[in-house]
Amino acid sequence: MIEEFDDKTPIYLQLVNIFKMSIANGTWPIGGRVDTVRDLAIQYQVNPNTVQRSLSELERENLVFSERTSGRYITKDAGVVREIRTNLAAKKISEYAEQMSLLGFGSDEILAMTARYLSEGNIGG
Amino acid sequence: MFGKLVKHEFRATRRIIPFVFLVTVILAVTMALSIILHLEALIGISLGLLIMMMIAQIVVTFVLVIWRYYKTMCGNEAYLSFTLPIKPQLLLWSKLLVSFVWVALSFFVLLGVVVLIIVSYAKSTGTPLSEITEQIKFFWNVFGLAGNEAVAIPVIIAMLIMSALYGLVQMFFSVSLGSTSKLHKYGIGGPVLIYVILYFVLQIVSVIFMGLIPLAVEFSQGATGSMTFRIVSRNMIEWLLGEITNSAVETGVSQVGLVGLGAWIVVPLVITGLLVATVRIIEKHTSVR
Amino acid sequence: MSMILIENLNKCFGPKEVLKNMDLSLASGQIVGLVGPNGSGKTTLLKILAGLTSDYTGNIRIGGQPLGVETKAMVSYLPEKTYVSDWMRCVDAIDYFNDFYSDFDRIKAMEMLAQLRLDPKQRIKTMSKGMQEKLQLTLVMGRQARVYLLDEPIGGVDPATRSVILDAVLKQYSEDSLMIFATHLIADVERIFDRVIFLGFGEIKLHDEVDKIREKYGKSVDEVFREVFSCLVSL
Repeated sequence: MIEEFDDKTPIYLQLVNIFKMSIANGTWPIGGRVDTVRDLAIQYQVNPNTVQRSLSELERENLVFSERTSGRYITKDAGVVREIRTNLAAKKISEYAEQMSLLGFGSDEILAMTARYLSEGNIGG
Repeated sequence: MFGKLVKHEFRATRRIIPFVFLVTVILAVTMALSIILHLEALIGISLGLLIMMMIAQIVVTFVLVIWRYYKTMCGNEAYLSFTLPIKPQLLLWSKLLVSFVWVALSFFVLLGVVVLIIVSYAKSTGTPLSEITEQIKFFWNVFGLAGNEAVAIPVIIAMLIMSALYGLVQMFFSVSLGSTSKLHKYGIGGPVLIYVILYFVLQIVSVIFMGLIPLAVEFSQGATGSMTFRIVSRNMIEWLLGEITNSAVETGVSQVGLVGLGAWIVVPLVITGLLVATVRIIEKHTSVR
Repeated sequence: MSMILIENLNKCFGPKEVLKNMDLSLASGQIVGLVGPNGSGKTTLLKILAGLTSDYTGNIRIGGQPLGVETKAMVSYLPEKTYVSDWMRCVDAIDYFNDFYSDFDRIKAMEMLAQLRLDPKQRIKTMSKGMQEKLQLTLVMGRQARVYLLDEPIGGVDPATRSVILDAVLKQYSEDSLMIFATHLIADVERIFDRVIFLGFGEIKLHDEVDKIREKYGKSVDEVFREVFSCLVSL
């Protein structure tokens, strides 16, 4: 499973988003240990310095912290994790809403179609 | 590092070269047995095959050794040889040493084969070995070598060693020169042509030196019928002219011949010169394709 | 301090200038992509750094040393060709490297052989080109060298093998070493490079960090490369 990256933006930024997703959905558990730079580099098949940069970025945002001798850990703060989830969700929703309205759907229609999709698995006629 | 190179040279070559010797030995043993068992028909055939094989062995040993040199110094394997953390000239010295050992072994195998044939001949005709050794001693005396063993034997050994080195060094030089960037485009034709030219030139130079250098071996037939020889500082050309015009100097003994030693001065000089040149090529003009 | 320092390098093959006035300085702790079309001088540059060609002008230092026996001990070179004797078995080639290179890790190399599913007892003569390439990769990566020069390590291999090779390169990465990866296939590998050097007609056309190129041009390195070189070609 080799992650596909888009061509336009720096890879380290794309990795930051991927890692945030992992934190948000628990793949990277709260308080858990982050894999080593080398392991992550091999897992995602990217340059180790790029991984380093993205982890430093996560540290800057307090999503991850370094323990001097034992490596990096995901934040223990559940509130912070909740916040990422919310932020990521907000981004997805706003993208979704924008694209749906570009297709010409109004807010009520979007709500109805979404509700039906989530409860019945299709959006109806 | 040099020891490791030598070790690996042997490892690489010991898979093939000894088998060439083995073939010769098998043919020799076949012939020996056919002599001892008086299998007349087989003697003739095996003698023919044996002689051919002995010549082939000499040629093939040289060919295999040069081929190995070419492959590892000029072919794809050169990428490995020239990235080893060693001074490149060590490649030359290690290959020269190992090649020389194989050539020397080749010589001893041939010597052993000759001894084997002689011994089996002796056994089959019931001739005691002492008679054979007497015959050898007789020839030894005839050539004036008796009593001069202390000089003769080291000289003969030195000549054999130099001959082997002379051939090897010419071939290594030709291959290395042919692989330089300017001559590389001629492929394998380059080294071959260089060797032929070199051989030709050296032959001429040797003859000139043999004739002109005032240093020669004078063979004389003494009163007892046995030959003696001594080193004289005479010029072979001068002697030849003397013989032709019959104005030879009277020395009181009946002269048999004069052989110029000049050529043997050429040999070590050429060996040294070619080695220096080859080292230079290897160290400075490497251009591996 | 730079691991590789090149000043005013010029190399000609007869009348043809293959490398022109090249200046380059690379520090260790990075994976550098050396990209360019075939014939741009990538292989020549690597061969010079590996000590295989002494016919050039300019100043080159590796680890502060001029090219010679010491730099050969620091540099692990993977050429495109098969350079091991074909009578050898895999294990013979490993023993050979172990003998000559003090930085060679025999245990690691044997493990890698197993991972790559190569039979130690198999003779190189009987191996396919792909298997030979894997063996040479093992030999080169089995060393703990200061500089790795990889010439088209993924050219002509299937995607699965490519993945294996890229993993090996990433595993080998260390802060103390510099890896130069020459290729003309940028698309799939730019993600493993710290920086990229574009080589065209013997000159460095572009030299920058991958992420900076993406930021600057808003495109992948592969796309920028195509643009730079179609420009050159149409000239």
